[in-house]
Amino acid sequence: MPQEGDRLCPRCGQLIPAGQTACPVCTAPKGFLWSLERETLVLVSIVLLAVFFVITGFTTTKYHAEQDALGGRWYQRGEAALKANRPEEAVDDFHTALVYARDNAAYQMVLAEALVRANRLAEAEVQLRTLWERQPGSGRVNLELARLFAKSHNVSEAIRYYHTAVFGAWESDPESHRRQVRIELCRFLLKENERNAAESELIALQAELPADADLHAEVGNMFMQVQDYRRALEEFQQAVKLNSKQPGAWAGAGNAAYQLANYTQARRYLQNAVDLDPKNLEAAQKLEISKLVLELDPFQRRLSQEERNRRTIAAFSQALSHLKQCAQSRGVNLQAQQTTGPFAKAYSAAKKMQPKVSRLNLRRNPDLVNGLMDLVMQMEETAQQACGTPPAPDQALLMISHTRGNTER
Amino acid sequence: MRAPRIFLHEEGLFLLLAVIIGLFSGLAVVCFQISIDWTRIKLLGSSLAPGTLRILLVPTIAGLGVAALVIFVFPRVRGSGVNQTKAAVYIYDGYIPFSTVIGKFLTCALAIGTGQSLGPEDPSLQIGAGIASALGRRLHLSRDKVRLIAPVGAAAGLAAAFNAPISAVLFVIEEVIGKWSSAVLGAIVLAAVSSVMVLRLFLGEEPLFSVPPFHLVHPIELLSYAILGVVGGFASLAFIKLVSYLRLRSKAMPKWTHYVQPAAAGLLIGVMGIWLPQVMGAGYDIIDQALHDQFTWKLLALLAIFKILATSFSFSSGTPGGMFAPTLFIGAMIGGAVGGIEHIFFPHLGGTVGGFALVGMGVLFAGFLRVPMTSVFMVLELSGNYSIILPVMISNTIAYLISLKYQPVPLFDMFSRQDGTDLPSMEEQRERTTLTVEDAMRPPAEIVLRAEDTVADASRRVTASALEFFLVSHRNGDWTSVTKENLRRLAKEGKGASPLVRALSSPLLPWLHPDQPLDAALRQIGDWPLLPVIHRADFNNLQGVISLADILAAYGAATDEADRNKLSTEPSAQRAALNPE
Repeated sequence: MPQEGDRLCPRCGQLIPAGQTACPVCTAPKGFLWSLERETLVLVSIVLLAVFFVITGFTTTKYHAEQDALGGRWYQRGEAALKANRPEEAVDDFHTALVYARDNAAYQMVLAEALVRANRLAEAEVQLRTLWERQPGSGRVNLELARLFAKSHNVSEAIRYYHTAVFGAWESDPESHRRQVRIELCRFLLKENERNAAESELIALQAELPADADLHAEVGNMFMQVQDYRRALEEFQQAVKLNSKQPGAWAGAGNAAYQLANYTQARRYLQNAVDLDPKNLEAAQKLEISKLVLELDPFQRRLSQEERNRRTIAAFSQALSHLKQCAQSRGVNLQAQQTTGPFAKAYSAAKKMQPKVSRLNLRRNPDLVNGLMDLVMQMEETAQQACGTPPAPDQALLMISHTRGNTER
Repeated sequence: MRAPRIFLHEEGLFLLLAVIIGLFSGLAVVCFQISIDWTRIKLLGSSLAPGTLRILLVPTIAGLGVAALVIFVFPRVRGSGVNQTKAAVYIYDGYIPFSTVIGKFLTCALAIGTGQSLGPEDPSLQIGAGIASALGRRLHLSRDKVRLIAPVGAAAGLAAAFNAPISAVLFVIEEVIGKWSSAVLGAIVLAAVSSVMVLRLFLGEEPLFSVPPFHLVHPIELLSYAILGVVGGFASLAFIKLVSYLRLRSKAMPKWTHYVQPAAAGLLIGVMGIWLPQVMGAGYDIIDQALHDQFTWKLLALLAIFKILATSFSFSSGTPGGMFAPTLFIGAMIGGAVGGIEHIFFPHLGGTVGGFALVGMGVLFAGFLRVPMTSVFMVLELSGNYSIILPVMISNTIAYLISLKYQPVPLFDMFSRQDGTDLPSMEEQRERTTLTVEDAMRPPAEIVLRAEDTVADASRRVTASALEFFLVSHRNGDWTSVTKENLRRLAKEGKGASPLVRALSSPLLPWLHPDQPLDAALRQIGDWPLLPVIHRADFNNLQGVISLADILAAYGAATDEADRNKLSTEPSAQRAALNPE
């Protein structure tokens, strides 16, 4: 311990004890090294340097191993926290992991994902942009950036990064990743109601789908959403071809065929769907309507004249009856002279036509079928507008009328 | 005694030694950084937020250990290391005992690793300088070379600590050597490059910080950076004032308190660390997070304030450790906070908070450490992005000027004066006005003779003049002189009709230009009573004349003014510290 009167040597900084004038360190006899020649000393320095290199090498190897282990430990903690839906805790853990492995792209990636999960979007964006700067072609980084912009409804930026992700580099199974990204992009576009863009992406996706029933069914569903029923039907048909025990695909196919007014196909597909999943009420309902359309449609091919006439008369009676019931439920007296409006108009037209509705007249004048079916459509539409969704037979008549209208157009 | 056989020429050896020093320094810094990290992990734990008991006890107990080591074993390791290296160069002929290297290594690793708010860069600088000094002395270099070798080691140590050789070279030139000396520049560059190479070999290629991409969105954003310069300038000022005040106070406290001051600082930092663990240690990872926009502006501002407090406590307690890392930390936090506020008020500008944090680091470097050139190049080197140059230059200049205006004595010079030494101030040298010939010269004398004039004409012209000495202008731009006495003698010799150019045999006069330093005039004037000061593009155009009396008068006036300025700018506390009695 320094005593009173001690002082520091101005040359070497060691203590000069009180009473002494010379520094004991500076005045100590010089060692062996001082007696060596300069060249020898340079060689000694180089040898020492080599030894120091080896020692530092061992030390850094151990250090890096320890750092990696610590980084891995904090990364696992973060993963666990993320799985337990504690994103804030995961963010802290991943931050700590990055202290020990600062440039570990995987850790940075999961940190960005955790930040997105924690809804810290601004921080996530900076994190991802830094990653992007380093790996602009990385599929995963671009996908995360796309998701970030999708979350903030920035459609143009999201599409840009989704596209880069589709064409970006993926470490493993690039085909599958690219497909998944495109599917995600399609979902996003549909969510944002960007139907045209979604349809283009779906067409591109359709060309590269593997033999996977679920994927075909999913793509079929998305085609349904963009109202491309023909391609949707193709996809569902492909799906049921690959897996005939998939009720969703049968229902999808039935639904697509139904929308395309191909009721024969629709009945077959929907029947399979209902057989596999009797709880699918929508399919059951559409199946019933499809069956009714096939039973009631007077315009079907290969019908005899007699059958066509019978169906026309039955359709007329059904529509008139529906119109009357609807009018009654809405409190409209169709018999009253002063009644006006669509009900009266349709009813009066029907009343005027009713005397002509007989098998004999229809046999004499086959064109009357068209006039009667126009009236059927008028009555059904009037009733539907006033009373909402009609019973199944009337729905079937409406479908027949619409199909006929579309065909004529 | 046997004469040494010299095969290695001293100049060649100096350059070879620079490389060896660089390699040794690089290895030492690698081990130093690993030691700091290991100390932190073993004592504080691997988490970014250690437990309360640990956070309070570890820095306190380590503070006691550091104090004991500094007082009993390594008395020269106090402080950051920059001034100690300067002292070695300017006072101790480049001598830094090797025990200082070991002491600095151990005490700083313990202090920084246990959370003291200090950095490893300045100690690395001193470790490098110490290694260089030891090698220089062992290799029997001349006294001049030993004096020059310490800055070479300093640059190597700092370059490895920063992983930025350009900034390290600039800092050593700007703060330690003070001039671009060709004698040492090559060696400094070699040493810095060697040390960085070693560091990258062992610790990887990554720069000190992972810097996010920076783009200046709109030129109007430069206004925000100007505001950052103002905020950073005043923050630097507050930091300087607080550190120097606390350092002076803690030095003046009873001697027994020196044993517990680092522990007390450790305890205070531990208390802060319970709520803000980010302020503990060097804080590189926190700077990294700030660069990546991971904090709100309020937290950034809070961190800046508490880091200023924590660093002031740590440094003034006598705990060895550097100021660079805390300066970068505070700068990054202030920059981030200003950037965050800009985003609130001007969201359309869209500049990144990380960009502001990056520029902020340079701002504090310029304002607090007062190294404007290094501050600009450091940010450029760290970011690797040239587009940041405009914001950096604007902010740094503003911060530097504010700091210079309100705190004329730079931080390191103030420390050296507080310690009772008067190391040369590089900033004062830079700022000092060099006296030129123009400051001392008088208007041209009324009579200037021409060499074509005859002796009779010349005699007639000078008869009425009270002067004895006259300048003679030659067509080719030469100047000679003649006295009245000479002219009278020539007339008597019958040379009245001869032109002066033939009649005179006096030697040519040395001439001066108005922008030349006054030293040049002093060297040239010799015994001449008067020298011509001529235009640089027209040698016959006489701008003025200068005599020895004029030169001395100019020096006298300049000295009086400097004394007046010194008295007005030197704080009374410093004068008291310099003259305790």
